Amino acid sequence: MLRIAAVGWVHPAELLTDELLSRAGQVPSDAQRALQWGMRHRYTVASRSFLGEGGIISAAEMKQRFSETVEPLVQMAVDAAKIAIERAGISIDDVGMVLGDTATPIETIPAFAALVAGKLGIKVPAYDVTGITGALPLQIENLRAWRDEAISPYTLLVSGNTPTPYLSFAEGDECSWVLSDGAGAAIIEKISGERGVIIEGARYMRARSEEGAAEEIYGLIRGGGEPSGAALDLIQDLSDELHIEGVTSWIIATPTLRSAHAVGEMLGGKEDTICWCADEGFSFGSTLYRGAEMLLQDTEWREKALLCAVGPDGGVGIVLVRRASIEE
Amino acid sequence: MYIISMGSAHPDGRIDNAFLEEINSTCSAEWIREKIGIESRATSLPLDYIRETLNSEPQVAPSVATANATSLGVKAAQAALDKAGLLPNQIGLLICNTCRPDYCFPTQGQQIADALGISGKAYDVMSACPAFALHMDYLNKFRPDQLPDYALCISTAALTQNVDYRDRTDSAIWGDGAAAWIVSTRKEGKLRVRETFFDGDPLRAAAVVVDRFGFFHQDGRAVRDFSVRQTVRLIKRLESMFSVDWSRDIFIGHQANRTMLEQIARNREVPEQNHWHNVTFLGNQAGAGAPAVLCERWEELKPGQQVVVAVVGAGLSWGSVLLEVIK
Repeated sequence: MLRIAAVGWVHPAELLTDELLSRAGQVPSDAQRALQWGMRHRYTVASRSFLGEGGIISAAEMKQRFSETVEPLVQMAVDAAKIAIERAGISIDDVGMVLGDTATPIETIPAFAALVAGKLGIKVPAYDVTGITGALPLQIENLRAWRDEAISPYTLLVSGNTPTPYLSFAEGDECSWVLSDGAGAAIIEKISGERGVIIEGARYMRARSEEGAAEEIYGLIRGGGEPSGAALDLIQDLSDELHIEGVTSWIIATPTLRSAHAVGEMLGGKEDTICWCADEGFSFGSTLYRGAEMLLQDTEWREKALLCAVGPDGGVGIVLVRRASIEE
Repeated sequence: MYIISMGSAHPDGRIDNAFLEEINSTCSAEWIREKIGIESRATSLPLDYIRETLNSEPQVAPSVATANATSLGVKAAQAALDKAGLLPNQIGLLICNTCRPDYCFPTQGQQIADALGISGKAYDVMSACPAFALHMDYLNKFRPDQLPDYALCISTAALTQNVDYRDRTDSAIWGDGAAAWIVSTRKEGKLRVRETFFDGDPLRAAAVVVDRFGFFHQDGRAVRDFSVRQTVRLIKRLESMFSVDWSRDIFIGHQANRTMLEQIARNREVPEQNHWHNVTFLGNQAGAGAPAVLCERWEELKPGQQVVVAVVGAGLSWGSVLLEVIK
């Protein structure tokens, strides 16, 4: 049996406000912003000069942008991991495996997990299992499918994403208004008796790429920030497989408030039981870690909850959890 | 768990030692032969482009290249499917390793799955050069009933696009290529997996780096020493656990460079005919190298033989797979 022992989530200090975005690109109306995207603000590791430049950037400028974001990407993930390890009440030496995920690597080798583990001082197998938006459900689904002896007592899952340097703000497309930078980490503990937040099931799938969905081509992310119709259909299939009856809380990681409500209601949630965890920006696989952190910190929450991610990359995943009757 | 078929793909371009001598005055064919033991490398870059630019702006390379990680991965995977007599819709899981994705979003595995028409799960499982051991060890962790009938593993990279051709060592090492292999826990294949192992030391993660929009760079001496020592340890580990007979069994190492591989084979007393490699004429194809060798020699495998695959690389990470030829 596995449980989510603890979660950490961090973001850069720099706020990416509506005002800053408006200065750089097209200006949607307040109503459009509130109803369609719903972000309070986003976070960025990029320097303000990039935002000021706004428009299409050359390959050389792009390289400079990225070179300045290597350190923040890894450091955010390290910070998130330290928080998760501390909250789990374990030491770094207890971690037996590190599984990483990033959609925005600046160094494509070594694995992101190895970079993070190296900075933490952990000498264990560390590699990436990358599912972009659905990374957390994917990694949890895999751990649940492994033979018992293959699972470490404590596995560190870590996801870091810095999409904002990949955006051309002057184009004003939807991605510029929804994407944000952040990192999350979780300690998954193998347990014999029930305690804390038990993982009941997890599913990951990906929808085929569709025209209009967001994609990254040699450094720039463009396209629609909303999940595709195929991705939305998939989430229903996955929830059917998991038998989600009895869920009382829906934690949704989607790029927009609009799509969060569409997904939550499709799965049986009501407005007051749906929690959108991308209100401070959508950072692919890292976003659901914020949702998991919100869930673990909510002492009122009882019974079953569904963590759900649907991204513009076609990645779809859900994790069904319940609170054990025995508290920690 | 069985490997039921394999495929490999390399771009048509070849960089030979004479070409490297021509474009870099500090480079000599004799030096390459003596230190690295490579005669030519597969490349997706046009030779004229390398000659004119020395690939000084690697972020431009994809726009002139004749192949990329996706196209090579698709070709290798299609060859593996054809050999197995399978259709794309029979693949329930695709996992991909690459040192240099064409795009990071969607994943490289997803891009290849879409190109092949595979509708099953597809994602990246990545640790660079030891991909063969990582993928086999990763799949071996699953309870057999949790895997689909067929899983497709792919390792693909076009790393010559990240080489600084002013650097005589890097330019002499790297080649482009992809390998794919189909794994099943239910359908018996030619190769039975006897053991898998994967480990790493992330404290040395900075020793080998590919900058996505820049050049490959590594701490050459440290990595070479590590590669030899660690590969020997991996082989010794298997020799101590299983009955390995080098008069019959086959060794395939990470195709980093030939002199290193020969040093390892000498250490373990592997006769030349049982040490299989392709680095001499294709270069270091990162995670695709070792499985591409196995793929090329597939028809030569004889029942009763064992194949020891021991691979190392960035991370730093390493792993091994012991295979038994059963038919």
